[in-house]
Amino acid sequence: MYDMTGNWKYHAANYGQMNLMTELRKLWIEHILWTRLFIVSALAELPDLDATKKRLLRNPSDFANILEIFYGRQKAEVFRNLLEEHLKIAASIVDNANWGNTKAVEQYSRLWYSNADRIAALLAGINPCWAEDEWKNLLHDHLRMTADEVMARLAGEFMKDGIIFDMIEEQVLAMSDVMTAGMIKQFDI
Amino acid sequence: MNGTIGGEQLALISNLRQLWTQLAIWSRSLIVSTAGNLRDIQMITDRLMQIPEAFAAVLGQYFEPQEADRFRELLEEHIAGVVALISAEKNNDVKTVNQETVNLYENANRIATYLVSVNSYWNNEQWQIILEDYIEMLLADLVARMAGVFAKEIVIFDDLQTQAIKLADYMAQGMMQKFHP
Repeated sequence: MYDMTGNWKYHAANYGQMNLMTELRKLWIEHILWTRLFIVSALAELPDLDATKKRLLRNPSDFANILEIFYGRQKAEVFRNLLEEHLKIAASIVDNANWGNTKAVEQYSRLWYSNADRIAALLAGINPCWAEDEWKNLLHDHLRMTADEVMARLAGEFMKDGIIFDMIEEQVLAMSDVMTAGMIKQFDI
Repeated sequence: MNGTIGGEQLALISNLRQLWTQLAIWSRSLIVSTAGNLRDIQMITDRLMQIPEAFAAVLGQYFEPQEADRFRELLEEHIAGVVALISAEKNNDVKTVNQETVNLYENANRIATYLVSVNSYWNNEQWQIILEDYIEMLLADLVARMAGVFAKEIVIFDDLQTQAIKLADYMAQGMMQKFHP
């Protein structure tokens, strides 16, 4: 997994470490997968939009269920709310981009980055092994690539959309492993 | 530390989970785009077709090049079948749907037989079961999407994703027994 300096290294792991790594990777993959599917359905105005949005908004609760084991209910709930806000703002950006409301897109984008910074601050606050700046950078990369994905699809640049999604996937796995590595260190898993 | 897993094995498990998950994700994306007449069908088909090559690269680190290559061919066959089936389902071409469905299951049996022939730590029947379950879920997903029962289809896809992870873990397990005893 990624070590604390961000270098890709698969270390030997015990089963607890491996399970945490694979669980978090699955949830982060679902996070970006359902985000993309929401983008696809919203921009094409497909009839599954409500069902897809509902599935997307389950993702923060799935994270909270894991985090609760380590951090207790209250902190997990704060994370859940912030991640839900992240997704709801993303949905508003997609919708307004689709409707051509440039000004609203800009406003929601500012909210989106400020939400990301609050997520970074929360994580650094509950785990001294997570650096706030590192989380900010990771989350900002995630936001930028997701916005690029929306713009590519809106422009009908589908090859670009596919390439961006692959990059989003690699980036989110790196982010997931930073999360795992910090928890392994904090709780001596 | 009770029970450890080597770094190389962890990489193998992670890589195989990623590839099997990508197969499920992009197969479903093709279903979504075909059902909705979207314009990204070519991109998705191209993306799907990169997956067998990526598998061959991982397997090629362990197996002989021609063995990894044969798996690549069999998986390409699987994907070509899925692509043909989705399109036939969309066009209500019952004859082709039936034919491609039979082909998919036969291809799965060939994959099972081939994998066991290169690694006796894998069990033919087990491969058949988990591959057939995967195909069954994929078909259910396709039918649900085309019928417009979206909430149900999402539940089926969650199961398909879990099944893809199961395939990855079984693949990794047999390879670890053979190559990292």
